[in-house]
This record gives sequence, structure tokens and C-alpha cells, in this order.
Amino acid sequence: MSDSMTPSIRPSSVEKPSPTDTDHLAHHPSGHSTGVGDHGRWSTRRLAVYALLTALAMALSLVSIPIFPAAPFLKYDPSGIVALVAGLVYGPAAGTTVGVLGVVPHVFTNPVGALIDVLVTLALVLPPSFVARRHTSRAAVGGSLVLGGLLAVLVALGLNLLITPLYAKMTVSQVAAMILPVLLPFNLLKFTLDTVCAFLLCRPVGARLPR
Amino acid sequence: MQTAGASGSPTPLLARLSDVGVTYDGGTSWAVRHVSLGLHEGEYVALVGPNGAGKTTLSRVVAGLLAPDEGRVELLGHMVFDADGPHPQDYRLARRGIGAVFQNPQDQILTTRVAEDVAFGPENLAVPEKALPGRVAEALADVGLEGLDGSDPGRLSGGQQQRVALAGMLAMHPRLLVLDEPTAMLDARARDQVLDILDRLHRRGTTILLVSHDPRIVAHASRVIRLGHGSDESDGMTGSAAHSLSPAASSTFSATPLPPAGASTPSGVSCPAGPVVLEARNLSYRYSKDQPWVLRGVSLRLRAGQILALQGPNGSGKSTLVRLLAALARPAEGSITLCGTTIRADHRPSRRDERAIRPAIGYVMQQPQRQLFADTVRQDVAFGPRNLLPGLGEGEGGDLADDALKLLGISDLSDRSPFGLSGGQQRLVAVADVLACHPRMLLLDEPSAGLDASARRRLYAALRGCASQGTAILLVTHSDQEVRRLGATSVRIDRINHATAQEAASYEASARPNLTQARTRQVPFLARTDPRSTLILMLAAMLTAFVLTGPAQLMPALAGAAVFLVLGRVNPRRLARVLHPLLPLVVLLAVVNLLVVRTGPVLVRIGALPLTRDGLWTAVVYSARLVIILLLGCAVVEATSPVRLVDGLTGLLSPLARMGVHVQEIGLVLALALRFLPLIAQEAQDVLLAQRARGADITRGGPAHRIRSLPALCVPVFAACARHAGTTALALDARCYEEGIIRTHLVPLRMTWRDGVLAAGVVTVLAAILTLGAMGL
Repeated sequence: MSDSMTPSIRPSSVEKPSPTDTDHLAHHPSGHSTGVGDHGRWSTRRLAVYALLTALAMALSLVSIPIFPAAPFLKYDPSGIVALVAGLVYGPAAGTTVGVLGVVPHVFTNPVGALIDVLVTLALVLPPSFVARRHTSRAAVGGSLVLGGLLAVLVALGLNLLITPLYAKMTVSQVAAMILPVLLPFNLLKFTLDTVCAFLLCRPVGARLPR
Repeated sequence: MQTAGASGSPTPLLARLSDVGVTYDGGTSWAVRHVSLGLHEGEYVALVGPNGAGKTTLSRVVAGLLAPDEGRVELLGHMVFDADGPHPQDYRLARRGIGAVFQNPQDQILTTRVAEDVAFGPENLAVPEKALPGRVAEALADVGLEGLDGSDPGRLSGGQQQRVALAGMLAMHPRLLVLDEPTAMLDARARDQVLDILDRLHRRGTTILLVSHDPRIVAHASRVIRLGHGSDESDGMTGSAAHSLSPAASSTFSATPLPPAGASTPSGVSCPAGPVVLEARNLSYRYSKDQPWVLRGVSLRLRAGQILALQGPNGSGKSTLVRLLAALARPAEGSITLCGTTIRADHRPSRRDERAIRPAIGYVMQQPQRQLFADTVRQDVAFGPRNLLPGLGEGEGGDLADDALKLLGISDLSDRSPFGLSGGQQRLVAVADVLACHPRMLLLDEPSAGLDASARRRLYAALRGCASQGTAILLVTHSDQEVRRLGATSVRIDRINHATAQEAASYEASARPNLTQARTRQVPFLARTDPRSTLILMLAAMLTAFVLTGPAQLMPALAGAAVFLVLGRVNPRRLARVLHPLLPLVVLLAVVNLLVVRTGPVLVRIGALPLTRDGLWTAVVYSARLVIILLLGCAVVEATSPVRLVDGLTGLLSPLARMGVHVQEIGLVLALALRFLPLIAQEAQDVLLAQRARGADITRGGPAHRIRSLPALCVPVFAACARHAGTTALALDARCYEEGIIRTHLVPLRMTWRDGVLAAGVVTVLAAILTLGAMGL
């Protein structure tokens, strides 16, 4: 495989201790692939990493932090960060998989809320994951994150108008009245947190994940 | 490298490696190079060698999981790698006959039911569905786990988990079995059980390649291959154990200087009459009130300069005791006095106490390499002293780090990334992390497990040196040899822990019953419906809840939800526990509705706020909607195993496969994610504790300290998770999973009359609700 780069003759004993930790084996940059299901977007290695990220998203989705003092019942959960990182590092398919599967446990407690979460997460994750596939500059990634964040705010507000009356006996106009003072600032804050964290994390985390 | 005499043997070669080389850095260094070996059918070969010699790498080449960079590899008669590179089709064919078992059993378990897990490999080989149950039963019998097929492998002991992993391989009927330190994480009894199984398989004709450090294991093999850098048991690493501290270096810090390694005599208990550093009186501990005692009435005294070795079987509370002694958990009864500060059951140590005792305790967790996080080894080792020894200058922390690295003979690693080191080197770095803090007391939980002879020598020399300088040392070990070489005093946990006798028995009993319970308890109706219909009907019923508007409609809806609970045989106490955390949401919803609706006669006035009758009814109906949804979800989740739910979801999504969606892969990701969840929780808890002992804590201290602690906690947890994912990927490969393969299923999805009954029930309730709604009730 790397015959061309093999230096002439070296003793079989290595000067530097050679890495044998599993961590390292999972991370070798390229090569050592047997060609059987261990490369490509749905390789076993990728599946295991998607599963890991999904589990992280699930775990973080159970966290709920009141970030907006005016409406303490609106809670922030950091699972969006994980879906964003997955999308930025591995592309839209991974971002969608992690974003959607991370919501699955909530189907059993809050099916409509879960559906909303899925749609909002897709709005948040898909623009940056498509952009990051082509353009890797920090400006492009940052810009696409802002785009995704704004799209997610719009989708979240729109769906809130439709959904809130299912949970509380309010008319759409009553909900609309809440947008400016409560829903808009909360969602802006939430998606700002998500995108900023994802922007800061995607490189260091991406470097530790196998491709 | 000694190779087998390949020629002239009557049995065929199952694996032939010629001049194989593997490099992870493009040829700068080689994990293995110029290795040739042959494995004959029916052989039992042990592969031994020091840490970093490339045993793991070589075993993966033989297992067909990793393609080398050069040489030729022939597996089971297929030329899988030669000058033309890897041949995927040959790899595919060869892998069908090769089983691989890795060190950590947790990473190899893919599902949440033993039978499903064992069946995973044969399913990937598309073994006919009729033959699958037989394969599973046979494999479980081979490893002595008959009857555990319904258990959750995550709840089994480490030894049982490793046997499940082994069964998963045996069910694929491999001709060659490659095992990479399969017993490194097991206690003596579990290890012997695994070795007995291997002996039996070998007698039956299975070819075995076993990687190990342990001479007792190697003794089982018919041939030993030594992989090393030149000679047997030579120093696997650069630097040497006899590295002594230069005078210049030792004068750079003022506290008790670390002693030169190897300075003390092998009988390191030179000053056993030192002052008492730690005294535990009558300690008892259990994880929660409804669980059995792990420790009962344990008393222990540790003096300066003394080395105590804590010994005893797995599950007897050794690690728990060490955590208590390290002040990382509080006892339920009794007290611990650490360097003058006493911790009692009813008394959380104050911040001042915490600050006083933390620097005195050096705690090395099991597999301490998991707590590494910094960019370089030196930074990692300097982290503890900077946190724990206030008033330390920037440079001094680094000096302490250098001295600790020198003591362990790994100074040459100081500028390298801890993540690029071999497992043994990482372990030594993690020990240096703790030694650099100059604790008065060292607590080590199996510090040498999985270390090779050379790394162990260094560790022993460093520990004996510390003891001779007056550090009190307590270590957990399974090895009598270790006790002798450290000159330690052995303490049997079963002698001092009065819970052990009964607890051991109840431990055993509680591991088995998982199944007996599942057998005796009748399988609920909801578990026997097709999960696809269960999910669809559950969602339909949940959505129905949103059309409820009047109190009259609540009756059939609540009755329907109750029937679901009965069909799922949900234990009321369990139901209460599941619903409890969600109750605030229900209350919140009720309050919001009570306040929002202001029509109808006013019942009470709170200040300016009128509470009306309409408001009250709305509150009741809207919170009932939520309760009904929660009851339905609870019934389904409690009755149906996660594996079945994932199967059901995958089944429902399968039409999307025609649109190019990777439904089978997505289903597998979901199943694996559910497996990973408890692992992540466990890792996070372990890392939190370990880093607290190094002064990193996000629950205490100022914001700056908390933020600085964050990477020390997040990086190791994430690295650990990535490591699990890496091994899990290999486990998927070893079980012949591939994108897009046609699989069979142990429990195929099939609709029966039960699904019809359930559907009819849901439709009836829905019709009743709609009728009542149309009647305006």
C-alpha cells in the first residue's frame, strides 16, 4: 500500500515505541483497510461513531437548563451541538442520522414534541453540513452555521404557533403574542449557544474521530 | 521474532504471514516489521511480548481485520494481501471462518439481549432463520451460559460478558479463533472459566491464537510465539527502569523529594512503624438503600511507608473500598480519618476539609490511562500539582512533572501526545500524574493489570521508592507475585469485609435471576405483538389524546391507556418511578391552562387572577392528555425490549430503503447507541471521580477553576467513548457486518392475531372518543 514511501531498510525493532492502543488503531489516517465494510460513509467504523454521537445526543437531550430567566419553563438541551458536529465532520447523512435518532427516546413521552425537534434539528444541521462538504474555510462554516441557526429559529417559531394550542388552550394569536417577548429571544439564545459551541468544537473533536 | 517451522507439517496452514509490516505513521516507525509466521490447523498458539511490541496489531492482521502495509497474508487458503494490496473478496471469505475476541467485553456486545447478540454474526452470514435458534443455543452451551439467553448482557459480570462475546464468535462456527488478551479484565475464577472453554474448543479442533502477558495463560498453549524487539522480555521501551534522578533535578523542588527509582530493597516495608496516615473504622457501604451491602464493618489502618496489598475475588468490594478511602464516596456507616481529617457517614467534608485532604491522597483508578487529557505528557503530569499545591509557580509544576516522569523512567515521552502512546506507556504516565502531586498516601486499583514485565518493573521500583520515603501505599491486586515483589503486606478483603460472604452469594443469585425471572414472569401481551404494529398503534393512540376536549371523552381514553398498562404488565411501582420525574411538566401544563382560560363562572380569585370552572376543566383535560401519552409510552417501553423496538422502527422505515436511505444501517446505529448510553454514563462517572482526585472539579471552586477543569473532564470521557466506538467497529467487522448485506433475523417480524386484537381495541376507543366528541360532550 505504502510501498513507495517505505524507507530503505530499518531494523525490525522500532526506535519510537509503536502505538498499539486500540485508540490509535481506530485513528490511523488511511490504509490498513481490508476493503470489506471498513471504509465509506456507512462503514462499520462510521456506524460505530454515529452510534456514539447518537448516544451522546440522547444523553444530552435529557439535560434541561433554563437559560432564559423570563421563561424558566423553556429549557435548553445541548443535544443540537452533537448533531451539528456530526454534520460538520461527516456530512448531511450523519448529521441527519444523529439528529433524528437522538430524539427517538422522546417519541415515547412526547411524540409531537419529538417531531418538532426533528424538523428544527434538520433546519439547524442541514445547511452547515452541506456547505462544510464543499467549503472548509472557517468563514464558510461560520456563515453556514449562522444560516442554519436562523433557519432553525424560523422553523421553531412557526411550529410553536401550530403546536402550543395542543398543549394549552390558547389561540394562535395568543401564541403569536408570546413570540416577541419570550419565544424569539429564547430560541435566538438557544441556537446561538448551539452554533457557537459546534463552531468551537468541530475541529478538535473532528481530529479525534476516525474518518 | 521466532517463527514456526512451517514446512513438513501434516496439517494445513490456516494463516500464513510472510514478511509482514505495519506502520501507523507512513513508515517512520513500524508497529511490526519483517514478521513471518504460520498457524496450522488445530494449533493453540500464544503470542507474547512486551507492551508496544505489536501483538495487538499482529493479531488483527491474523484475524483479517487489518491489512498490513507490506508483505503477504494468506488466511484460510485465501490470499488476502500481497504486493497488489488487499483483496476485499478474499478478506470477506476468509473472515467468515475467523472469530475475534478483544480485551474489553463491553465493547463487543452489540445489543441488549444475550440471544440477539450471539445471533448477530450468524444473521450477517445469512444463516437460515430456522437454524439460528439452534446456533445460539449451541454456542451458549459451549460457554456455559445456557438459560441466560433473555438477559441484558450489560447487567452480566465481566466474565459472563466475555463468554457472551466468545459465544457470539462460536455461533459463526469459526475455524480460527483470535483472542487479544481476553482475560485481562477478569478475575482469577472468570479467567479460568474462559481458559477451560478455550481448552475444550482446542480439543474439538478449533485453531486458537491467543495474545497474552500472563504466564499462566501461556501455559495452556501448544506453541508460544514471542514478539519482541530482539530478545525475550527485553525492555520494550526506551529509557530504563534503573534511571536515576540527577542531583540537579531533585534539588528543584523543596517538598519531600521523590526518591530515585530502585533505591529501596525489595522488602520495601522498611519503615512499617510510621505514623498512621489513614484509619478506617467500621466502614459500611451500599449504592442505595434498596441494594445489598457491598462493604460491612471494614476496619483498616495504613501507616506511613507501609505497602498494603488488598486481595480478593471480583465483586467483593475492593474497588469500592479504595474509592471510599480516597474520599471519593461517603460511607453509609463508620468513619475514615485521613491525615487528621475525619469523614463520617452523616457529614459531607467541608470545602476546607476537602482542600486539606485532597493533596494528601493519590488515587490511581483502574486503567488510569483513561484520565489523560492534555496535549503533551508533561502538561498532563503538571496538571495535578498546579491544581493541588497552591502557590506553586508555573515552572515548579513542570519540574515536579519532570521528576515524576524520571522516576518512572519515561522522561523521553514528556513532549509527546499521551494519545499516541502504547497502553503500557499511558499507564505509566497516569501513575506519574499522581506521583507528581507528592501524596502522603497512594491508593492504586490494580495498577499493573495488562502491563508487561518491563513496565511492571518500573512501576514496582517507583512504588518501593515512594514507600521508603514514607508514602503510605495501598494497592488492589490479583497477583501474589506482585505482593512478593513489592514486599507488601497482604490483606484479604474477605477477611475484613463482613458483607462478603452473604453478598457474594446474593451477587451470584442476582446475576442469574435476570433470566429465571423472565421465564417465570409471563411474557406480556404487548411483548408478543409485532413491534411495528405496537409502535404504529401506540402513536395513533397518543395522537388521539390531542383531540380530547371534554371530560366525557377522558373516560374511554383513560380506560384505553389502562388496558395498555395491563397488556404490558407494567408493575405499578415501576410506573410511579418512571412517571415521577415527568410530573412537574403535567403540573406546569395544568397551571398554565388554569390561568389562560378565563371563561365560565369564577370559582376563586387570587389577587387579580380569576380561576374559573372552565379553566379548571381545561386544566384537567389538557394535563390528562399528557398523562395518557406518558402511560401509553411507559406501557410499550416497559413491555418491549429495546432490540424489538429498534427492529420495529427499522421495519417501519424499510420502505424508505427504496429511496436510497440506509435503513438497515440506521437501525444498527440506533441499537448500538442504546448500548453505548450506559457505557457513557459509567465512563463519565469514573472520569469525574478520577479527575477530582487530581483537583479538577466542576462542582466546586471559582468559575476560572471550573472552566479549566472542563477539558480535564470532557476530553477523557470523549476519548473513552471514541475508544469504545473503535473496538465496536472491529467487533462489527469480526461478525461480518457490511453495508447493505442481506441478513436473516433470529426473531423475524411477523403479524399475528394479537396485532389484530390490539388494532381493533385502539380503533374502538378512537371511535368512542370521536363519537362522544361529535355528540358535543
